[in-house]
Amino acid sequence: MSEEKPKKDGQDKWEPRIIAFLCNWCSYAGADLAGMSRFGYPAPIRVIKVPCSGRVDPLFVLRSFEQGADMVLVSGCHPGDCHYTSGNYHARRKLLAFRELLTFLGIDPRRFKISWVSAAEGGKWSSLVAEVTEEARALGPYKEFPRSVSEGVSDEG
Amino acid sequence: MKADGPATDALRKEAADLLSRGDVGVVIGYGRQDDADLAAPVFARNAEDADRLVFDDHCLGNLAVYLPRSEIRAMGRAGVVVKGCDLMAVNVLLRENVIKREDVVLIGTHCAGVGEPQLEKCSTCDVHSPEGCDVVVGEPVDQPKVDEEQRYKAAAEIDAMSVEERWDFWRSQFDKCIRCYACRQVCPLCYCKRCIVEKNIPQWVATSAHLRGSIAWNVVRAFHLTGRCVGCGECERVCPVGIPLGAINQKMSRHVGDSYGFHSGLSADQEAPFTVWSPDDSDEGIL
Amino acid sequence: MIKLTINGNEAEAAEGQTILDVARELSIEIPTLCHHKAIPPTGACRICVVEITAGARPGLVPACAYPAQDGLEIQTDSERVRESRRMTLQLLEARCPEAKVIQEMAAEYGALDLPLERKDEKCIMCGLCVRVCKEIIGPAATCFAGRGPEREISTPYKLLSEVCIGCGACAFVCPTEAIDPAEFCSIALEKIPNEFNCGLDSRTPVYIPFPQAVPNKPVIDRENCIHFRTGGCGACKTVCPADAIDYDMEDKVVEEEVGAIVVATGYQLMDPAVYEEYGYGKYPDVVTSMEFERMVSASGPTGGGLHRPSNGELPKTIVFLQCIGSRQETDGKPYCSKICCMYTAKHTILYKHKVHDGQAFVFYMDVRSGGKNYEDFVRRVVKEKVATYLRGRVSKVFPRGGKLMVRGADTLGGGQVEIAADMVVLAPAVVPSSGVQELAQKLRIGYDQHDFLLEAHPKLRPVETNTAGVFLAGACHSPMDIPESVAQASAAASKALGLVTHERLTREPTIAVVDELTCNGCFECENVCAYKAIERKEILDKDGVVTAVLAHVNEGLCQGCGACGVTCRSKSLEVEGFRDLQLFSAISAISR
Repeated sequence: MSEEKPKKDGQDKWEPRIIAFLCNWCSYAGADLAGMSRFGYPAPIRVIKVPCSGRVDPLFVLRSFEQGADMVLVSGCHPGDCHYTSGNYHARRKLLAFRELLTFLGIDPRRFKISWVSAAEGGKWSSLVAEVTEEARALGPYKEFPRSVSEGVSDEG
Repeated sequence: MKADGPATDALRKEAADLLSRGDVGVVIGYGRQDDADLAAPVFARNAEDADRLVFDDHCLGNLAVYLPRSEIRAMGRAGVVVKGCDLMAVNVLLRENVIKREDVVLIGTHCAGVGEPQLEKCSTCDVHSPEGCDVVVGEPVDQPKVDEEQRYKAAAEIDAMSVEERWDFWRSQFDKCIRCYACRQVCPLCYCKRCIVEKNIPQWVATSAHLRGSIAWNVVRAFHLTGRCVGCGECERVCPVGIPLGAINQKMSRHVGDSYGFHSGLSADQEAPFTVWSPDDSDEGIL
Repeated sequence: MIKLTINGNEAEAAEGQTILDVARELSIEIPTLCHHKAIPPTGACRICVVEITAGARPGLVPACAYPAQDGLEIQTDSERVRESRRMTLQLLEARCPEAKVIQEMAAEYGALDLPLERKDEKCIMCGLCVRVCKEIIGPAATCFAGRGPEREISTPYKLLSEVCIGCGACAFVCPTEAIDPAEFCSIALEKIPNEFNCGLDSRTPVYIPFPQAVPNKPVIDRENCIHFRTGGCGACKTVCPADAIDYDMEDKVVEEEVGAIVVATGYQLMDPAVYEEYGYGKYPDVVTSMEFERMVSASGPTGGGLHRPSNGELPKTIVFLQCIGSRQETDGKPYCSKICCMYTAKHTILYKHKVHDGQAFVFYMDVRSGGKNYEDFVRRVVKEKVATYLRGRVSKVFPRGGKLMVRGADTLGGGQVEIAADMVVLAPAVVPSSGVQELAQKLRIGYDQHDFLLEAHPKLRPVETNTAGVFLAGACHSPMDIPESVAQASAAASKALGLVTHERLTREPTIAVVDELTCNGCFECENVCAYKAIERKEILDKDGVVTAVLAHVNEGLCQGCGACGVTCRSKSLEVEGFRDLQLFSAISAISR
């Protein structure tokens, strides 16, 4: 499905790690549709399914960065389309405030994306992933954020 | 304001009355030993204890922090001395069902500002006289016009930096954090029976005092107070390593104020901005 | 038990019954004028006379007032009886040539031949109106005034009555339609519009809401009932043979615990008066399709007779206008109301049944006849020339020479057309019943921008809502016709039965659970839950004293979205299957 070949032996070419939290009803289905429709999109994105974008706790974003993500994407249903009526509205308030907080603390807001992708938008998903992957590549590795490995402390839950 | 002024006299009389009538089991107020710079909390259990109470401009702490405590609840109905700024925290506690209005007697104090030199927050205070208390003691204070921008000055200074500068700034600040959690202990709104840092399955926030965990702790603390913090500034005042936590709180208060017109603590029946939504909320920055 | 004989038939009567009562039980016809079931008889008009031939002193007696007695033998139609009635009617006819009922009775008894000058009255001086006002309703607003030839029904001093309450009972009971309450009373007598007939006729305050009502029982409209307004009347209670009227009954709020709710609030038609160009509300001959439906119904206000509302004539030319408010993005509803094409085709056929030589026209945008045999039906209407279909919109309806001129475009024939119509029938857009928003908020179910209720999934869960246990049936969901509504209602009923007939409820396992050890009881989760699934649970100590109130998840309502868990600062709420630990591990694993 990937537009380019995965890195060989993990050596010759750096690829960003993008952790994506997709709501089960819209964005995950949209990503599925992209696959079924044979729309390609870059491989670095790694998807975690959640019931609803309203289930995405800012802690998930923080944890992803701690664990080595170079970019985090949260994607849900378009406003008004939430399977659970209002989960994406709650998510919108919380996650935009969280991005505000991260930005204030000096965490590049370009590394935290939020999007609305519906179950019918396979094409949008494909082009969105291509776009953000390109941006993540341009931003380069998120070395600034302290990781357990680099900071020498391990505390796996 | 003097410790032996009319406010103190009125306060002692009010507290003694409440205690001797049995209206309350405890009056939480301020007291001073000798000429200590800071007033310390006093828990007056009877009319004699009430004579230890004072109110003057050394009374910095936010006594609302004691209201959720089980030890205090065990004493029965609690009287508490609150300045206008402290009352805002009480309002949040009421809103969040932590305390019931009938379980507390609010003894408000008119306050022209505290601290020596006066605290920064007092220069932008618009609640010199608390409203909605059961009694209010002291001399009413003129309410000067408040410059809203001034209230968010500390945050604005940091906002003016570039992202990289901000990162360097906060990294060095959080690097100092010794994870003593004084900020949490002094915050009247950090009342959780189990704080998120004490949750270990899973351990979202690493506990040892290294940068990664300290970033997580400070981010989580700030986010859990977003839309709730009333800006009493106690967290920053007690931080032993001097992290400017107030600036973060300011930033988030400003965000909910600008985005949702919400200002925490103004009344007990507000709807917290993260528990409600509107279809018209901004979509800015969403792909 | 009293035993008597009427016209040779043996009959039994109860104490207190009159000869008239007994005769009517035997279906023996005795004509009456001044008799009314609710009012004690006085025998004023003498039309109901019958002959006693044995058992008492023989002679003529009024059947309405004469009590049944043991051993009576009665003739209701003897020569003597007929002669008496004939004479009474001769006199009444001479006085009241205007009264239709007298004319008919007089014709039946051959009593139209009295060689006297005819008066021009309607009133037969039976006094029923005076008595109903005094004895039943109470205010005694009317009375007899004058003597001999001057005698008439009036008010004291012939002044406009101050005590009249405008109930109209006098006019209601008058056998000859002689009473116009407006002559006595300053209160405008308000007729109660019959809601079921779109207000095309009126109804009484106690009424059966509509034909085929289930249960088919009358209700009392308290706002208009004289008894509830003044404490008087009580006529319905007097006449009810089953003694079923109980004025002390109160409206009750019935609380039932249920396992499923089917919302079937239906639709209404949008008010076409907003489109001034069609003249609805301005010209009486412009009616809505619903009004037309009632007009041609055998149980409707005209008993199925189709007349022009303006003058009662037969409408020889009728024009049906489609899409009034439907498919109009700018000033109406953007959606298709779906049912109008088919019912209009039906209406043209009904019209032809009523007016054989009539001409029907239909202005339409598109004929949407999707549905089994629907296209055949419309084809038949067009092919058999039941109606002329004109594709185009109407720009204006205006009166000219007693007709309604309908000016519109015929886009297929080309050019403008103008039709001189006797009636215009509008097909207004179908909209949800008013108040459905409030209900939806109460049930926490979604609705769209037009207030139609939202299904859980447009293809896979069309009768379910996002709130578990709430189902949709019929036009509350979207415009739909009867077969579709029935199909949807059956589906909703099956879904509801599937839910409540099992001993155990089957639900998704992925729902939220509360950690009671750490819950602070702040109830911010309650606010974010779209399903009202968060309940307040009292934690009791061993003496039964409430020590804390904590969040509790109603397992039947929770849909497992997880919004509560994110709101919870102490992480005391988690969704099974998407627990924090699971997602934490997923993040850790996937980030490597």
